Amino acid sequence: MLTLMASGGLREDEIDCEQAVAHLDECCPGFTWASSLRCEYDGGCAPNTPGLTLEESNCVAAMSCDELVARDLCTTLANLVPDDAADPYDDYATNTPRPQVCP
Amino acid sequence: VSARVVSLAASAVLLLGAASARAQIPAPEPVPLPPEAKPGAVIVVVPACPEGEAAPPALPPPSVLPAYEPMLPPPGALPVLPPPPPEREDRADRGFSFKLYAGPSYQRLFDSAIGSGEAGVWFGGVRGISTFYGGFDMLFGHLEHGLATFVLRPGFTWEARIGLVHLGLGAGFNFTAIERATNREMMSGFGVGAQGFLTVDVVRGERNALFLGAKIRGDVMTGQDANGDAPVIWGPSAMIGWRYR
Repeated sequence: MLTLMASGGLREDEIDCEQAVAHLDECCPGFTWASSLRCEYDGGCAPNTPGLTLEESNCVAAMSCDELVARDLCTTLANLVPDDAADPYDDYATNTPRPQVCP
Repeated sequence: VSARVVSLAASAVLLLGAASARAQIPAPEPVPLPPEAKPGAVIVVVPACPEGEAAPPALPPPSVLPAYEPMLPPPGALPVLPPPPPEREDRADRGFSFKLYAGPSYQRLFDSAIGSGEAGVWFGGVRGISTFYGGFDMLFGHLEHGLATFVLRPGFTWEARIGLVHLGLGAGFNFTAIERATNREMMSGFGVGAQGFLTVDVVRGERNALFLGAKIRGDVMTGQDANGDAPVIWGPSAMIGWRYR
């Protein structure tokens, strides 16, 4: 309940990312168990943004299961490294935006 | 003393005279039984009119009886009474009321649809054509890819009763929780909103009714959309319900 009360509200990027993950889980059995993809937004000095952008989330959610499997997105997204380019305080950050996975 | 004695004596003489006069009226003759009379039969004898008296005229059939005309006092004979006090409001139009309903609901949040079922419980009071309720709606559903969604909407409503039709407006709060796919925790938001609804009584008892209705509601929530604006949950619902009063 405290988690609920402390929530920053409903964010479109979080909800769309979670919907994309739910769709991946429908098409790629065990996806959420195998994946480190996270969709939480955490504000602050170094904001933690959802693992998928709004564009990517909508793209994944709109694809059929056959398309996802054909493009090998089940594996690609399960092994997706979070985009750390936005974190100016991370000395080990590669500062290289990851390539867009969808479309 | 002499006057009292005289009056007593006069009274006694009058009583004696009346008794002797009554004794002179002949007793009615015994009526012989007709031969066909069975033992135990009851015979009603209608006394004949005394000699010298004419029989009363036969009454006309009831259809031609003259209308009864009450004898009214002449105008102005009775004192003018003040008008009666106005009657209190009909008790059927005031008192406790409550209603329950359920039905399908379609809500939108950002660009996603929430298919759901909604139920409401509301308590209130009737006064004239108005009813004021306090209560809540609950909505259970899921987003397009199956994320479980729960919405609780406590608030107040006012509705006007126009025959079988009830038109209402309301305002209240919103608590929405959506399950995450990644870790099964909940995303949540709070908000405020307004609603409008219309119901029609399809079956009505003395103090209760079965109704059908439709409602539209919108809530502005905490959080943000892609443009940084506050999200809005809105959409229509249909309902079937039961109302006491």
